[in-house]
Amino acid sequence: MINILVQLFVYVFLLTGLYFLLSTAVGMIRFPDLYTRLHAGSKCLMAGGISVLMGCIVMEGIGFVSLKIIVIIILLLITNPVAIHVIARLAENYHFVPKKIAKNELDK
Amino acid sequence: MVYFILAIVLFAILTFYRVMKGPSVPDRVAAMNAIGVMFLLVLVLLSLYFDRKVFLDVALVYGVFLFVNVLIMAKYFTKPEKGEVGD
Amino acid sequence: MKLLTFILTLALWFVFAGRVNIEVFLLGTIICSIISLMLADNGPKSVQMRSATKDFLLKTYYLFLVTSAFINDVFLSAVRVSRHAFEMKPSFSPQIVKLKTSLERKSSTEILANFITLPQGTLGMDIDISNKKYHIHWLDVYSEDQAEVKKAQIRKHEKLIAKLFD
Repeated sequence: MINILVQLFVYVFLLTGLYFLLSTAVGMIRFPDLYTRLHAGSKCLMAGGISVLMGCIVMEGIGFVSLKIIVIIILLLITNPVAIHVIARLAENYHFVPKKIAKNELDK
Repeated sequence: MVYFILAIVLFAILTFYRVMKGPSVPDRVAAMNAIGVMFLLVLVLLSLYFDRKVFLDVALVYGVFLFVNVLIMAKYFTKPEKGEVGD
Repeated sequence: MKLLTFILTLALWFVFAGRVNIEVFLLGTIICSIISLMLADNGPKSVQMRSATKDFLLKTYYLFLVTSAFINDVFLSAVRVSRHAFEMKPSFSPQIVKLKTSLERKSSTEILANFITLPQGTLGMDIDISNKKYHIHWLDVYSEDQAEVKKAQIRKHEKLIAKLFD
């Protein structure tokens, strides 16, 4: 009984992770602008990665392997937003004019 | 389990389209970051599938090197090349 | 403070080693004592401790609260962005807005930048250090009222971080 429940949780976590990763790929292709692509590359990617790794933790149980996976989760949570900030700072050198933008307060 | 790994590799190939086509350098860097994180997940899943604990250490060091990669690319691509136009 | 970093790095060493032995423990004490002596002078200066034990429990409680709110907000905003990705015509109104903060320390402003980027459909672009202003790019804010609501959410995170770090 408990085995079936654990298997069900593993499949639910992995399927939600696959959905977010698919939305990352589709958003990288379809979005029209650099900054909107960065939205897809930060949030959907982080949610997909966290849910896939949580599925791995539930599948493995308590032990040293799951502790290592928790360390990987903390490392992703710290480093990925910093990488996105660095890319957004890099894009300022290119003087982008975003295609359709509603309001821009930078020029004032 | 095999199908999940194949699906993540398929999504990475889909994201590689943006690396090929992307009109400027920051697009390509962001897409490479996404591909790197996807292959990190593939490494973790493979270590559970083959039951080798060594792949987890490989995944952790790979995550650290991915972050250093992005920082170095952002340091050295500061000026746009001639004839390159942003979006 | 040095003892705390020593215990944390020793726990990290055991996790990396993957087994508990006497040899691992001996090598770990040598390396972790060197690391804690080198790093405890300028590393944890960002977290102030007034009274040691009671304040420590309170800070760990706030840390747990902050991380749980963080992961919850990541999933909510990812659902929103993925809904935009699968529409037939992507309909959003991106805006670039400045926002002023009242945080004092350098480390707390950087942590607030992480909090702006991941949750709630906003993306922090840049910081003026002299004026303490963030440049924020956000996706789906259509009217002025929603902008006020979203700024109020950012203020709520700011109060949490101010309790934790200042």
